[in-house]
Amino acid sequence: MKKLCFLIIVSCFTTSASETPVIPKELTAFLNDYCIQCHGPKKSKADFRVDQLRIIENASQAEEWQLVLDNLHLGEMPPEDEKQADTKLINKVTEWIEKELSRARKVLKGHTGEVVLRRLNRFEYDNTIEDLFGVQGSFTDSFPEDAQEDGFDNNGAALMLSTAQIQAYMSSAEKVLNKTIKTGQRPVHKSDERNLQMQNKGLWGQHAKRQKSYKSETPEQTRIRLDKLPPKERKKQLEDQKKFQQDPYWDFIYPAWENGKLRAPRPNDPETTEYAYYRTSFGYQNPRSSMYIQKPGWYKFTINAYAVRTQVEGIRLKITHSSPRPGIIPKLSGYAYLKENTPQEYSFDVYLEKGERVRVQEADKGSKWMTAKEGLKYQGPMTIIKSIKFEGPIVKQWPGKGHTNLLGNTDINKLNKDQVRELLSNFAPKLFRRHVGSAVIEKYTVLFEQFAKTVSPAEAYKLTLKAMMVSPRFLYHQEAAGKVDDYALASRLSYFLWRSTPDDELLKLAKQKKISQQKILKEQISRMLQDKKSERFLKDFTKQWLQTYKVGEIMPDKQLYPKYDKLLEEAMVEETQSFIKEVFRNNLSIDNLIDSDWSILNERLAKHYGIPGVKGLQMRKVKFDKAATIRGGLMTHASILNITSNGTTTSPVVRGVWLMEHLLGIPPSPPPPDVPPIEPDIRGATTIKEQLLKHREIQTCKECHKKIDPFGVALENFGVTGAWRLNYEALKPGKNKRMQLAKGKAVEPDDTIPSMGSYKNFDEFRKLIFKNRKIVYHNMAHKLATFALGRSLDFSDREYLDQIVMATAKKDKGLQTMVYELILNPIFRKP
Amino acid sequence: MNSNRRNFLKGAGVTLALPWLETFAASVPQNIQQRLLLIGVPLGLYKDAFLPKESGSSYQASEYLSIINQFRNNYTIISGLEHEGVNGGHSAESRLFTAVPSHMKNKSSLDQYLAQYIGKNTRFDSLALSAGSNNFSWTAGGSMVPAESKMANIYSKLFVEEKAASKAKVLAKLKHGQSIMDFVFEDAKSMSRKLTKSDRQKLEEYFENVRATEKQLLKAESWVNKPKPKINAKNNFSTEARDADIVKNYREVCDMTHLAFQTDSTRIITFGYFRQNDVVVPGVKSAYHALSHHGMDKSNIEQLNKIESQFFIGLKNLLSKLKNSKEGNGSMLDNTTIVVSSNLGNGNNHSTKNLPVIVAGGRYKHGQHLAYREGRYPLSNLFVSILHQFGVMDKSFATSTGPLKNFELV
Repeated sequence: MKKLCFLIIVSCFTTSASETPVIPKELTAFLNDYCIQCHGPKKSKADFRVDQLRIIENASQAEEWQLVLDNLHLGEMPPEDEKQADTKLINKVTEWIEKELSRARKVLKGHTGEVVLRRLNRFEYDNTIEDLFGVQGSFTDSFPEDAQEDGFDNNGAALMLSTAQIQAYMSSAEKVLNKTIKTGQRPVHKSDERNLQMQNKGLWGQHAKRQKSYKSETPEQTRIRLDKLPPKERKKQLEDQKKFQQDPYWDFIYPAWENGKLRAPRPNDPETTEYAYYRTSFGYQNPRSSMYIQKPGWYKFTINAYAVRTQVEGIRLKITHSSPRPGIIPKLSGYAYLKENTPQEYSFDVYLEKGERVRVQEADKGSKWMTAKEGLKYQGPMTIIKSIKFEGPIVKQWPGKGHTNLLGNTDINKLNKDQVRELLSNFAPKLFRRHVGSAVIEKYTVLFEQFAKTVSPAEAYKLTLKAMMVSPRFLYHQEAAGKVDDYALASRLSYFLWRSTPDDELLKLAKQKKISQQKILKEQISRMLQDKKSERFLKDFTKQWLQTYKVGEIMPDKQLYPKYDKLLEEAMVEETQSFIKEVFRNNLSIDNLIDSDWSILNERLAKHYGIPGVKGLQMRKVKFDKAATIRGGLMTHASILNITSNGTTTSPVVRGVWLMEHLLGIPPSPPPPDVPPIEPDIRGATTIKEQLLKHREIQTCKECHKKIDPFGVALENFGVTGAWRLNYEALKPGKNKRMQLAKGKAVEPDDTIPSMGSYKNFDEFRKLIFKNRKIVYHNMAHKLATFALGRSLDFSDREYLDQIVMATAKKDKGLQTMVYELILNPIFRKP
Repeated sequence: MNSNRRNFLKGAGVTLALPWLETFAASVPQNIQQRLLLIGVPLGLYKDAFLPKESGSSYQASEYLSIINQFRNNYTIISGLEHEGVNGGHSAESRLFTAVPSHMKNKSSLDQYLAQYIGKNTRFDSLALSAGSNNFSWTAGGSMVPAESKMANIYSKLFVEEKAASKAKVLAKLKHGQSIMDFVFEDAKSMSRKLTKSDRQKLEEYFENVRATEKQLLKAESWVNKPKPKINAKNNFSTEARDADIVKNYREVCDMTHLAFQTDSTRIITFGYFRQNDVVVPGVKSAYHALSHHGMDKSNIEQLNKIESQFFIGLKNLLSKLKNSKEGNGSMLDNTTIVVSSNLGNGNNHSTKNLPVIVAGGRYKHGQHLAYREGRYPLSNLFVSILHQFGVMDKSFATSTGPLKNFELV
């Protein structure tokens, strides 16, 4: 039946040739007059020929007309140094093209911009597991990386599959199930509060044990032991022995803090004693052996602490957790911003695997190692810790949500076929995100039966579930041919705003076929955005759209940028993430992306930007005095300026291309194959702009570079780390011939954008972009839609994007408004 | 051992009739182990320190090449090659050994392609290792093969015998895995009827991979009860990847490569030598990647040379090990083709032209610098030549135009 329909459409199109438009003579004349010289049989620049333009019969022909239209609209073509057509003529031409495109859209509808069966990517898989099974863990670590397409890693066409991936699906399903299904007793909740004396006591214990064993040695044994040691070690052992005899508590890790002074700790210090945490930049908080993590789960870690001697900034403690083995990158639990002389409790909910520990470190400085004696004389800023409390595992529900989802109250060890059928009828729709027919349930029930012949019912059930988790019904977003039903809509919505599986409410509404009603859809969007899970969308989208994940990939050169540090790096990423979050959550205008009179900063970043009056390490919204700072808008974010440079130099080409692709949505054509790239040179003789101008003298390079470079030249006053500069950084030999940082040539931040006009500096450039802000709105809609739909967009999506942009601009230009408009627009339901 | 074949090739030259060689290749005895090692250096090699100025056999060894000069007659330096249609600087990494133009979906890399032919003979079809990176190994479906960076894990996989009880467990798991694959295959089939054409194509990919996984599980099953090779080397390999210690990581990967080849655990290995940030190399203060964008600065270049020299020192050690391991009438090196290359011809400006290439070992006429006119031949022509050496007589590989001219077998 479906096939038949398809044939009819095609035949309609081909037989109604008489109604098919023809290219009007005026248009042919226009193309012959203004275009064919460069884009014709003789020359075909950018591999494009106008003499091959045809009445649209397929998507790729439409794309070519779209290209012509865009270039005419933007004033890119004909090039400024060529013969120009008059506006009236151009309007006539564009009018015809628009008409033809809109005709083609109707005819070709459903045959282009199609959604490709899309599998869950890593992030979606992880979130789905977390939401469905309530378990945590790195289940996707062994998954091959997901490829990116059009800037996002959730593009169905680019998400490939391999045997390695399938094997990884199998083993991770097993891990998930073993973690989810809990047959034992509810873990006992334990709580333990201590201070840092525990570490001192540990050390004293070690000393005592060692001295005791020395005592029991024969003189011969002692001699052998000492002979084996290198001289330094030998000396230290003997000294330690002497010290121990005088005072068994001479050594310690953390000194006590009393009346504003450090003193050596004693074993009989009262429980309330405070200790200074200064000597190491980190330390494992090793709770008493009873608190050693035996059971994976959620724990609450509370630290009561304050800072001393820090003047203004306070101290930022970084709390991480990991297995204590070396080489493992600890996961961040959070930060505690300690205030001067003001004790406060800071709590963190941490998911710990067996054997993992929580670790506390001063985030922004690594103190030198000092001996106990030296430490007592230490004068610098310190963290004072009153107490450390550890509680858990925190079990809200036993058995957990996942277990209940999979088994209800049924005993897994006594499962029979009928029970499995019932359990699966309940669970399969959640796992497969749609209604599951009884035939499919039956197939899986039979699979259970087969497994149960050779293994225990528990094992057989797990294997059955494993099969379900490797089935394409789970791994792919299923959408029936030709239409997006309520279930598919629920999934699209959920994987967009939560980056995860639809919850029970969404599935229920899908079952009742209510979710497609505009009113209910709106309510659901609002509910979903209020849920914490929507943070995943904001983070993931921002990270990929603006590529903030690239910050730190290339360390800025230490000689050229000596001030760059980890604290700045973290703040840079945080600024951009929080900036988008702030715009979105408060539904601020998209204009803020181009220019704003505020940003999210902390003291370190504000200092970097030269903005006074920001004290402390916490990121917060800062209002700008626009007369005093150039900052404002994404283009002045250090993160973006950093990722568009290579650690040593900046390149207007790279930055220009980046802006065109990510912020303006007018990606340039790729470079021709035979042009050698410019060789960066920091020896100070030439600037990159001088080199580029030379490059632009070459005719073949000129065409593209005069369009690209101006979008990057404007940013040249921002260095590799995003700091403002008037001159390039350079290295020159100083005294004793060592290379030293020196002032290079002056930056010349002026240029002309062919389609927008000239600018003298960055500020003027930003104003030009602001004047043309429509393209930024358009790009925003384009990026959001690409991400939301997980596919590449094409010309047939244009009219929808236009609608979204128009509707948003009419209302409040808000970023959140745009997300609503996108979801409510037919594009979101396009099959 | 393989003297017959050698004599034959000598007599006939390399232009012999193809069908003949094909049948000949099919009759190559299984105990002739021809191996392939692909090494990628994603940040490129600084040209002035690497590439000899002269071509031919009497070239003057460059700074880097003087490190491995003692093996001069066991390798060939090739310059002027590039991948047609592959661009994008670092993103060209994924295309280095696949040669698929950047605008197209990626396909099999040379190692994975060859593994289809010779992989079946060993416990592992191929190994993807990492001394800092490996984005080089790709499946036919355009999916990256995940690489292992902890050599201790590879050691266990290759040499540590499981206990009988866990063997039984492994077997049961493999069997269950096969049943699951079988089942989901059928399940997916019933699903595919309701999908659009383009969806069905995507599902086709799923089918192919499910079938291939099933095959892998079957192969694994057939190896479970075969004893693993016993070796003298202890498992002193790292259990954690200490990323900054690039030299140590690289050494371990090379040692593992040698062990894996020696025990015939696999005949195909790929790895990359890379580190984004700081490296533990004396005299190097800046990050490796930043240094590759040296901006012509002398001190940057000096530091970069130090990191790249370490690469050649490691290569020298690997070559000596292979050369000192006797095999048949020759050494392991004679039966191991090593290709070192990069996706960047110049790390400073991300150029993907004139890629650095070293081919060592195997049965080629070595000892020269083959300098082609820049851009004249694609690098994939070399891959065709290599395939031919393995008896896989394909006429082309991705963008190739034939085997590489003047690069001949002994």
